Amino acid sequence: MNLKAEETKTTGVYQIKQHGKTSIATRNMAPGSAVYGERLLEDDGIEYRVWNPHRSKLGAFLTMGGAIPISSSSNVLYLGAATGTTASHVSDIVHEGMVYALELSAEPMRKLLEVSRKRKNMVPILGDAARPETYMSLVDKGIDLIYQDVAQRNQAEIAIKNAATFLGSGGATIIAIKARSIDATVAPKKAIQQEVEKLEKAFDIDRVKGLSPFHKDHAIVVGTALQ
Amino acid sequence: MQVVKAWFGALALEDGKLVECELFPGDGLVERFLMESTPEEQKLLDKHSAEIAQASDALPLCSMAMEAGLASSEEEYQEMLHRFSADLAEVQLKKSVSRDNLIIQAVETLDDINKSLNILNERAAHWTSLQDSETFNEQDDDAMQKLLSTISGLEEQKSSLEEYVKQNMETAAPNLSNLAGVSLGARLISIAGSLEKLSKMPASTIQVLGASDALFKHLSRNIPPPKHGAIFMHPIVHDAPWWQRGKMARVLASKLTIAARIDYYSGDLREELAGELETAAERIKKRFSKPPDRKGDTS
Repeated sequence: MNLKAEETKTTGVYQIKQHGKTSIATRNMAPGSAVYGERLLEDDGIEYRVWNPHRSKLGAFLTMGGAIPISSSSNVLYLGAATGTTASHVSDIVHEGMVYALELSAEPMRKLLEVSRKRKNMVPILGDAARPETYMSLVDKGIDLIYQDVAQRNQAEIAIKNAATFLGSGGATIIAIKARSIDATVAPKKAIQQEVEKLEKAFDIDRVKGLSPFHKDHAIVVGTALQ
Repeated sequence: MQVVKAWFGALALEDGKLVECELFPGDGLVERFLMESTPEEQKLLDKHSAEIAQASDALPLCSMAMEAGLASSEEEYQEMLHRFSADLAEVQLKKSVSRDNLIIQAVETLDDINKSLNILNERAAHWTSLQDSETFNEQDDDAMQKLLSTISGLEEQKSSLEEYVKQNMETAAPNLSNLAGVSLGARLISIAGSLEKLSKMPASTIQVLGASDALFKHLSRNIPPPKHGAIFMHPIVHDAPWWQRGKMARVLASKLTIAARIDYYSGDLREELAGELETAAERIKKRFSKPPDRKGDTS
């Protein structure tokens, strides 16, 4: 099958064309297995996993043309990994690095654990992102990228705390903000703006992008830590 | 000099630099890591007369591990960490299953069974209404019988699940069961997510658990708040006349809050709670025996 795979601006994320439709995909680190029912496509001996923008906020951001600072050897701290849908794609990208996948609840962790066992660069951690001191005994200093997707009111504080503890200099932080989690009674744009203002105290914000129509009232914020 | 616990052993640090490392034993690494106070940390504490500390910043664990001889390359370190973290998560998951998780699953299964029964019973009604036709033979009868036996199997499962919930609720949450009944009690735990979460909620929240749609509409618009959620099911609320319901709901919720807290922290049955609830309900019935003058008054 010829997918006409081309790497996008983001390392490890490929644009593929199939039946006239364009999608993004990553190269499967655990060939033969799908994580969330995504399509596995083979082209020239390489297996690609189609990245579904409806299921993944990071997938939506990248589909809409966004780019993130990541390389195949990045060490990523993923806060709020849930069942591993997005985390598995990150794991595909950083095949020479590590993904520390943190999740608070037992239920999604059960699935995350299954996913992690098949990927040697994934480290599942059952823990609370608001308390980085509880997983400092596992996570190395010098994290290159923090990706955060926790539906909590104090998202900004959590991001700032984790960046201060783990992020190496020049490291980037990507936060998926859910307007309804911050304040369900305030207009979404305003809630997101409030969060961005809090983040500006610790980060140089490069990009704020709404994820409509894939994820209503959600936005991705990309920033680098202020020194 | 500080002694800090890493996943692979105890570290003695001076100004953030590694002075010495005591590796945890390769066998039983997870159990050792989970110990409150490990012999390895103790050894370093005694040797360097230091204090146990929480590192204030993340540490370069990989290079420290390699220095201590745990791994000879980054790949090896990553492999070992990958395996350790998966084993650790598995142990932590096993520990987190508690009685109330099982109750929640059972209660939610009951909801699923009820939905299925509704659908299947309707289907069976349609199907049996065709039964008196002359063109019917044994094979047709058998086909329909299978549906009927599935339905009766489900009914059986429903009864035994109800029994299961009853027994577990009486053990795990005796006060909630005594005050609200096993099914309402189990439902409240299920909506809250766990007995622990329920015990942390204020009475005002418990009062409206299950009415989240109405609650959010009230919070975001100029609409009156809901007076009761799941607790409407309690006879003290639904049997009361409309003008007393809000007051009954409030009083019931305050007693339920206490019941949930006792259940979570100690589990001893306190009979007095039911009595206190009765007394409060009587007071309301007496004081507000007549409906208010203006019918549209919802204050």
